[in-house]
Amino acid sequence: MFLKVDNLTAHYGRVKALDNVSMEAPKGSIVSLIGANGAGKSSFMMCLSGVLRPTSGTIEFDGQRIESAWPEQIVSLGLSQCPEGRRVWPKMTVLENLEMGAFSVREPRVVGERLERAFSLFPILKERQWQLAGSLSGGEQQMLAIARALMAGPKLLMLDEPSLGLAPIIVEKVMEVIKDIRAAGTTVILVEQNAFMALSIADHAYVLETGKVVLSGKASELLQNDDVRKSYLGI
Amino acid sequence: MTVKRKPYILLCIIAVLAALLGIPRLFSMDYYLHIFVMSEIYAVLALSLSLLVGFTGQVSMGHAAFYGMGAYASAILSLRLGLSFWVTFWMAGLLVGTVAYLIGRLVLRLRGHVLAITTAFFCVLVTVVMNNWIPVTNGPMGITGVPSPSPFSLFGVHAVIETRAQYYYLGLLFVACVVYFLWRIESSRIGDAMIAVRENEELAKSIGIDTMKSKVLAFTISGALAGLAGAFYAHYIHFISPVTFTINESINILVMVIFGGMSTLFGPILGAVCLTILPEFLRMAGELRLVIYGIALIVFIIWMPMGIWGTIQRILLPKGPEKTQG
Repeated sequence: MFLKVDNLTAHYGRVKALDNVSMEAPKGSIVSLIGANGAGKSSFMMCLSGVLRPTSGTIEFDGQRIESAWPEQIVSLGLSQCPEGRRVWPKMTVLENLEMGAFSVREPRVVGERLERAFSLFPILKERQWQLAGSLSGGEQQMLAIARALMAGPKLLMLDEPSLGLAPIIVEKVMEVIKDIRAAGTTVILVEQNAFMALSIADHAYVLETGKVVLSGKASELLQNDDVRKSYLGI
Repeated sequence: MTVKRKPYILLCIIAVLAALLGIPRLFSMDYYLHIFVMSEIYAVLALSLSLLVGFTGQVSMGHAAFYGMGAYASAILSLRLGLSFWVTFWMAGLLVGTVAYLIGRLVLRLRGHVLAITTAFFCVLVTVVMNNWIPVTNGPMGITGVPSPSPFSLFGVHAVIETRAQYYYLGLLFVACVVYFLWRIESSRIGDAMIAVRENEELAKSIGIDTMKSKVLAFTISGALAGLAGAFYAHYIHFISPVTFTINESINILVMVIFGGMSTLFGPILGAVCLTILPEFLRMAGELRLVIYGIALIVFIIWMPMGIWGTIQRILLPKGPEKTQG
């Protein structure tokens, strides 16, 4: 299995944020994590990227155990994160933001290739490459954040709430982009409150509640599940 | 746009260099030259602090501690072991850099005002040691008779550093080297990482930057440079005592950085020069001197929150901080 998480438990001080969470993601898939505020979605992402240390459990990524690795080691292994809230460096230009994304890449040629790829995926960023990132619209900043995460050349990309605060039409655009990224061979883990969006593009999905996995399965089946429909889709 | 401006900038640089080199001829009075040498020392202190505060975004109130440690290290080494300034200068930098590295590893887990307060306490602690470790530091009486740099011959040129004008030129070389060194750092990957940490530390982590390493590196370099400035000061003034290296001095240096303009190379130099000359200039005002100085600072900070250099840049480049691409 490309990514395999076993019985992951994590705490903030005494508060348990994750309780025996297990999940897996095959190579080339889109896996969604859905759940309400405080369900542990972001804590799970932080464990994967090495920012939060799990109290117990294992994480295996591409044949390597990473639960006690440093964030920079994890990024260089090919697991890159696009954090919540479309964070960009507002006082840097679009191009500088993208170049920073390739910080761990040392060959200028590779950076150039990835830049080309990012621009072909997001033509709007090419147009605005000299602008300060802070002057972009919300949707464009989200595109930039995703493009920057791709600059590290990840094998697995984690997206934390990419639809947050975006107009529905932009959300659709972001969904298209996520599908393109998967088509190019990158595995995607998508953490979302917008359950409908997450389930409609994912292959598999896990539902988190107060730090536990309460439901999992094929995304298309979860979309038909009565509990999910009632609790997360409001149908 | 940038191409057109180039000869104009080159002309400015030549004019400034000529002015800097000509200063000892224009102001031959020792009093003036002393102010200029002190400006140079403060320029190095402000520049080194701006690497930490301006570029990496970590506020330190402990800069005077490193400045003082450098001064004491160099003075003690040259008096007790009879070593030349040319050796003790580098030893002081190395020693203070090591201390800064260890302190940095400890305190840089903290952020914002907690970091500022902790470094302030560190500064107080160092002053306490200077005052009470009498066998080594001679306590509040300080250390007298710190020797001038020994004469040396290099490429057939025999150099003596004794008069203020000679110290002035040595200081000028010192500042130039520090500017060049910091410029190289700030335009490298290391500098990029530092800016990323300042702008958003979590985000910097998420793209694989070892943020702790960046912060500790900035702290170490900044401390080591302050130590070098301290060594220069000790061998220039020939006398050091704990009074010079209190937390007031830390604040003074921090004000120079903010006043001149953070996260640029020229800002801290401008701030250091202005705030060294201004209080001397205000001596005319007699006892109201410090009151006027205080008011002037407040007015400047309100009018120019980006510092003098930041404001000049804004006037020269009407587009603001946005980069012009040529």
